[in-house]
Amino acid sequence: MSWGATLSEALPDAVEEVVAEGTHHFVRVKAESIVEAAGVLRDKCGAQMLHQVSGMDFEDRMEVVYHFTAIEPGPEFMCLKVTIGRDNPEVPTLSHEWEAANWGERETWDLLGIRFSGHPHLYRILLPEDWEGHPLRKDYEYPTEYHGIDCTE
Amino acid sequence: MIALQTPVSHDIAVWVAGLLGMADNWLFHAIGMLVVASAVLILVVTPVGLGGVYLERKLAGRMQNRRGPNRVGPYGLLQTLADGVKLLAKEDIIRRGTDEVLFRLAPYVVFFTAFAGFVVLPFGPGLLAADLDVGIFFFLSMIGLETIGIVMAGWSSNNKWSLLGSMREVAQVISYELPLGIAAMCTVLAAGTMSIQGIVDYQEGGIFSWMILRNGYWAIVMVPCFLVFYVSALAAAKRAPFDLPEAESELVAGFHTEYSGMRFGMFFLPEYALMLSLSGITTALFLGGYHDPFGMSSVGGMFHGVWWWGVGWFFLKATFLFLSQIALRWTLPRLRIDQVMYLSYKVLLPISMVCLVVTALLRLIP
Amino acid sequence: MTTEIQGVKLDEAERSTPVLPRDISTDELVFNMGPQHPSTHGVLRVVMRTDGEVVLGCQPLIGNLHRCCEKILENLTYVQGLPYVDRMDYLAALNMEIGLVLAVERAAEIEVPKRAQYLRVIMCELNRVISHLFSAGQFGLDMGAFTPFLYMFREREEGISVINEVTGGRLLYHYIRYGGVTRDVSKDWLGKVLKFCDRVESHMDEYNNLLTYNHIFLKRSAGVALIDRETCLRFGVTGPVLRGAGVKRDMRKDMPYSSYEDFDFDLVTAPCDEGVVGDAWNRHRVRLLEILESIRIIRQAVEKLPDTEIAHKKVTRGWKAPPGEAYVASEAPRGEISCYFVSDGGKFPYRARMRGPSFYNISVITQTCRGLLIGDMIALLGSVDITLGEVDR
Repeated sequence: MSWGATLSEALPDAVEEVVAEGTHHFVRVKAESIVEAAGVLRDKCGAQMLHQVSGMDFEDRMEVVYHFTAIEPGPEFMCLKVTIGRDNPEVPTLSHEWEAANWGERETWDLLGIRFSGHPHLYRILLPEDWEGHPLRKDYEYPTEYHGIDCTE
Repeated sequence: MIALQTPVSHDIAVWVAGLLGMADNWLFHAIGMLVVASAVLILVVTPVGLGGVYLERKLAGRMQNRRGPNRVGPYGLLQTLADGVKLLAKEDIIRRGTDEVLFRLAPYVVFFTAFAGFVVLPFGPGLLAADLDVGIFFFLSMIGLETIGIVMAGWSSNNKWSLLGSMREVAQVISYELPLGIAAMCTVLAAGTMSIQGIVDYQEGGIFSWMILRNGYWAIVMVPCFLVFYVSALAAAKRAPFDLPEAESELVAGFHTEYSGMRFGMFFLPEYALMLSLSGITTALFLGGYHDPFGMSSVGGMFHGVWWWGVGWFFLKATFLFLSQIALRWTLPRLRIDQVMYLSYKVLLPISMVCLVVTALLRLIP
Repeated sequence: MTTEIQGVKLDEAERSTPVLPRDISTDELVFNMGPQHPSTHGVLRVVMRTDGEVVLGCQPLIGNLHRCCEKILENLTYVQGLPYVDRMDYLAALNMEIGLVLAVERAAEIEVPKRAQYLRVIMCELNRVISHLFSAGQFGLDMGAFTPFLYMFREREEGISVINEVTGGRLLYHYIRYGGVTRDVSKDWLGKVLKFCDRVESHMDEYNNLLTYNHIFLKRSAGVALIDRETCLRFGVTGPVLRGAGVKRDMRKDMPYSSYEDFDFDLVTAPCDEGVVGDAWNRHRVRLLEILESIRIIRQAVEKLPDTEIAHKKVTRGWKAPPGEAYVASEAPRGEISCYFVSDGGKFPYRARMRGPSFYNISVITQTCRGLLIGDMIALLGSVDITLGEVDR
């Protein structure tokens, strides 16, 4: 996992944790420096594509997990994690540098309610505009009715 | 053997007028002729149109590894009729926001113009509704007029897809009328008459009297001419690969998206009527009309003036062209609108113009 | 920039730069393509701004088929949740299953028996073949060629029957389980698989003559709807679209899973023999050539199929994954399906974040649509080939 070392070398203040063992390798960075960290991955580690943006709800905190990937040569996944508080979670957007983040972050906002500051178009993408709540939160309460449609069954 | 040398509707009208003792009343004569002509056309052409639909579905089925209609009636022959009944029984939906007058009128315009083309089409010796002096001109103008019905449908539907479909139709038909008309003009120039009956008569006497192979050397101009006419006719009939006005994968159903029930049926049947009449006119102009390739129907021949011999040959040739149109439809993908325009203005139009000039030159050779 | 047209919030940054020269452009027309449009392959809605037939910009509005698959997975036990993944890309259900299963197995560090791995390969490749047959035929249908579509469906039908014989399903199979597969196969069935492969291969020329090298089809798709390498990478586009843009990327080669490293096959990338790299035709061609590569893999797998268990012994009905997490990507017919799986050791998965490749693939049309004719727009949608079940999940 050379990219983890490169990252902690380039941004020693931003990196909080490097996990290079086990089934999943990742680097935890500070929320405010996610854009720089992604930039380092792109410029120095060969990350060419943002593969996936995932939001996580751990009941006491929230996480946004970015998976970047290098294409050629030596394809590999690089994972950045960002931890944020559960009330009013907010992370800077990556969508200006990585177009894939546009939809990925919209989905994360839609389903988990994590805001991405600076996102050009942060609206719900999968759910209707007037939906209440964010379903993938662990404390989500199921609606009983939507526009006259009974949802209790 | 009945030999009819004059248009059959005229004969019948005269006969009826004679029976009623009003042979000299010109008004009765004219109205009688109209009524008989339309009755004959509707009785003859509608079953032929239905047969065309059946043929298309059966052939498409064969081409696509399936059986086609085979449930209603023997060999599925009554399927089209059953579909017609279904269309009649369906709810006629007129959406809010449509221009109702135009919306209701449009199918009639399309229906009328598509069937009007048959008026000048000689099915056999003497078997034509009206032998107009400007037969070709009349036929082409009817195709042009159909566009108006389609624009009415597209505009009044209050649907953008319909509008786009009708706009495509206008652009396409207007563009293809030029090569179509010029290719037809070549035959007019060769035969020296605009009457379709006259052009057919000119081709009497075996396969080398047919326009497409006339005296052998005429083929150099008439074969390209025939191809231009055939392709333009495909485009004028909105058949694939030129089915852009109703391209179902692009425009949902184009100009008839909002039509349902029998109103839709009145767009559907004319499409086949138009295909048939265009196949018929191609036959009449280039393939000798109702004349057989052996010269047996020419003056002094064994079958001269025999109506069933002529009708048989006419339908044989027209059906062949019709089937080839169907085969093309189920083989080729659709063109794009700019490619359709390109084909018309940059390929077919120049070819047809060169053909016209060459025909005029050939005319000088005795 | 967010603009609003007819109550729909659109994300169109490119609005400022005109597509047509100003002096010939006329009033804009807003078209609502879908969700009931025949060429959107499901319930996709695309709002297009056009100038006559020229598309100026578009915005796909998705979510009509959203079922929140991830929430469903969080509320069901491991074994109960599996069939729901099938419903993501219903045309390639087995490839969806393997996407989730691989991540869970990686997190739980389960070794899958070799025979099960090979059976997974056979099944996934069969599913890829029938899915690509569907996509290629569907693309032809979008271009107005109806007959090749039915020819491809004829073979697809046979492939479905072959899979049906083992899995008991025709569309949604629910065959791959954690630690292995559900049912073993017979010698007889393997013979049928080989027969199916021969049949598809022998009909390839027919497809090519009728569709791929048809002059009109080439005119319609070659050099049309270009998605270049840079755009693909920026938008996270994967699968045949990415390979059609000339990028050598295939999870089966790059990060082999389920014993793909045992098989000898080639990576199909553009340029193919006609068209421009990244155009609609190359995407279509890549799909057809991938069918042949899949057949190669199937033949090798059938030949080398080892005789071991078909499922891991420890994975039983009430099995739960130990705490851990993993991110595994695998190659589905439409792109890379990946799953970020997190377990807290409980009865239910804590989180299974699925990446639908079509979700990212469809987002690219906002950029590529500009300046296309409406007919080309259909070619773009058809050649990118999305399944709405997977876009919306």
